[in-house]
Order: sequence, then structure tokens, then C-alpha cells
Amino acid sequence: MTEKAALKLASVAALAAGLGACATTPPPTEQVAAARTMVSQAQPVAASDGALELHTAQSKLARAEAALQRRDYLNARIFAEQAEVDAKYALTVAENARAQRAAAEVDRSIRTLREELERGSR
Amino acid sequence: MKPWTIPLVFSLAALIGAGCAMTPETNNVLESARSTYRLAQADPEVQLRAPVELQLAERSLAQAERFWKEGADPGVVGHHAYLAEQRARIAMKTAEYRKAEAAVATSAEQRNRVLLDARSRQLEAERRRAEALELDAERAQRQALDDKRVAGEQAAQLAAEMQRLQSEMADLKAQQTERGWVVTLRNELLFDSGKAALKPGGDKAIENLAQLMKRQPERDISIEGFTDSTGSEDLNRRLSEQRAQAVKQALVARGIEPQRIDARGYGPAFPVASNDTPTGRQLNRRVEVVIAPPARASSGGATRQ
Repeated sequence: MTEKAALKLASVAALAAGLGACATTPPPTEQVAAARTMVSQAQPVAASDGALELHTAQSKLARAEAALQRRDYLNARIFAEQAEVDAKYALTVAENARAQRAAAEVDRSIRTLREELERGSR
Repeated sequence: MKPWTIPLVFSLAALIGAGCAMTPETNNVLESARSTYRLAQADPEVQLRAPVELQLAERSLAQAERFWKEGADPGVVGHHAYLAEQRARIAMKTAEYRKAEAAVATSAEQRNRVLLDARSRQLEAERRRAEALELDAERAQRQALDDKRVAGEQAAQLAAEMQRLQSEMADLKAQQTERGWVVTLRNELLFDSGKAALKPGGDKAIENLAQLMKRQPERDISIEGFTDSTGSEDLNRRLSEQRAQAVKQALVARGIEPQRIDARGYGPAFPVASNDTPTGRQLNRRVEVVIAPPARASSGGATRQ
């Protein structure tokens, strides 16, 4: 699927080089929609951890949408695909930070619990 | 640094159509993607915890490599290389957070087990403590009931004895007071005037007292001698003391332990009647035998203070 798309992309690039025209590329609505979905998924989660990565994804999504508007489908597709993967990365960064905090918290609570129990059983 | 500006520049170049046929010796984005992917691929944690993510990165990288080999536009190669690199990063981060989540799950389980153990130990201790308390309370209650029953039985028995004693002996008076039972014997029954030796006529009374003490082994007695106010007070006190001692000795001779008997003389003190009349004086000349409550319940003896 992506391979096919990439091949298309390559042929478009070749076409652009050869004929100087790129309007024949189909609009990458699917890719833009996927990028939107991923960005909106990451937005509430990555507000603090992964904020930088989220910002990158949002900028690229905006560029993809702008490119789509002016029928620059090649750039729309490139920006959309990168926005999606960047948003996914932002989400992963945020989830990782949350998991690390939870692990530290549980570790601390077990240590506290052990200490209390040892005090209590004396 | 903004990593996405690199593919952007390439792709824009491709779009403009100026340099699409140009194939540079190296592609920086592809180089970077390769090394990041190698890093992810070599990490056993990533292989274990993020195999799907790693596979996606691998597929993107393979695509970038293919375009690169085919001499495709550097923008296209760079785009796919960028996707590959981000996916490799996603795979590594995913492995990292899944490892942390697994640790949380294990720790939470461990904590619950620790808590559960502690709780059940605590409950067990509480249960045992409560059982012991209940047992103690039960025992104390039973003991109290037993004591009360025994005390009641003994009191009733003594009252019966006293009644019998009084009905058998006309000269003897038995009274229940706050000091216990008080048996009053008139001196005339026991002694000749001015003497401290017991008369044979008092044997029956002494014998009855001894029997009583044998039947009530828990009770001690106090023998108190009194006179009327005629004559020297000092002499009277000494006489009453000697008489009380004589009664004590007679009881000891009948097998009563001496430590159960306290004997004292008070002379004319504590009169029970007026010393102005012959009848009153006769009432004042007496020996009182105070039968104390059972030793366990009494405190400080039953002697007059």
C-alpha cells in the first residue's frame, strides 16, 4: 500500500521533472485525514511531555492542509505522512514519560509500605 | 534543529523540477535513518516489546533504500528515510514505556501482595487478641459468679449456725452487724467475779464456738472482753484482756489455729448499756466474739479501732 503510494510519489517526482506538471496526482485526502486523527489524538496527551514533537506535527499538518488547498498534492502528501509519524512519536514520548513517572511512584510507594510494615511489626 | 526541513527542501527541489535527475553520493537523512534503525534493531528490549513498530521502521527504511538504489529523487528518498527514522524512534520509545508499564504492573502486584500479607497478619493478630479478651472476660465473670455464690452460701450457712446457736443457748446473743456476726456472752456464764479462769459452765459455749470455727474455716474471729465501770479502769482493762485470752486459749485447746483468733480487752470502754443500773452493768460485763467475713473479703481484720 505505502509502497505503491511511494512508487506513485516517485513517478510524480519524475513526471514533475519531465513535464513540469504535477496536477495529475490524486489528492492525498486519506493521508491528511490520518495525520489529523493522529495529531488530535496526541494533542491532549502530549501537552507537556512531547510538546516539541507535537508542535512539529501540528506545523506539518497545517502545511499539508495548506498544500491541499492550493492543490499541491505532492507536498500535501509528504507533509501529511510526516505529520502523522511525528504526532505518533509525540504520543509515544508522552506515554513513555507517564509510564516512567508511574513506575517511580509505585517503587516509592512500595518502599514506604515496606518501611511502615517493618515499623508496625516491631 | 528541525528535522523535517531537510526532506521539505528536497521535496520542494523535486517539485520545482530543477534537480530531480541529480543523484548525490550520499543522502544525510538516509544515513541518519540507517544508524537510528540499527540502534533500535540491536536493542533486545525493542525486539521483545515493540516488534510491530520495529517492523514498520524496517519497511520504511527498505523503501528509502530502494528509492536510493533506483536513483530516485533525493527528496523522495529523504522523505521515506525520515519516516523510517521516526518509526525507529517510535519503536525505541514504545519499548521503553512498555517496559515501565510492565514494571508498574509487577510492582503493583507485588505491593498488593505485601499489603494483603500484612492485612491478613494484622487480622489474625486482632482475632487472637479479641478471643483472648473474650476468654478473660468470660473467666472473670464466671469467677465473680462463683465468688458471689460461695459467699452467699457461706453467709446463709453462718446465719443458720447463729440461729441454731442462739436457740440452743439462752445466755448467748447473736447479732448481725456491719463488722460481721457478733456473738455476745455474758461474763457470768464464763467467769467468776474478778477471775480470769473459765468456769466449767462455759464449756458448752466454748465448744459451740470451736465447732463453728471448724465449719467456717475461712473466717477469723476476734474476741473482745468488756467490764462495767465499777472499780479501777486499768484493772478492768487487764482483767478483760486476760479473759479474752482465756477464751482464745480454750479455743486453741480445741484445735483452732491461734492465728485465726485475735483477743483483746477493752475494760469499761464501748458500753452497750448504762452503768448506772445493775441491769445495765450486767449487760456491759460481756465477751463479744466477732466473726469476720471470709478472710479474702476482709481487709484489716475485724477488731475495734
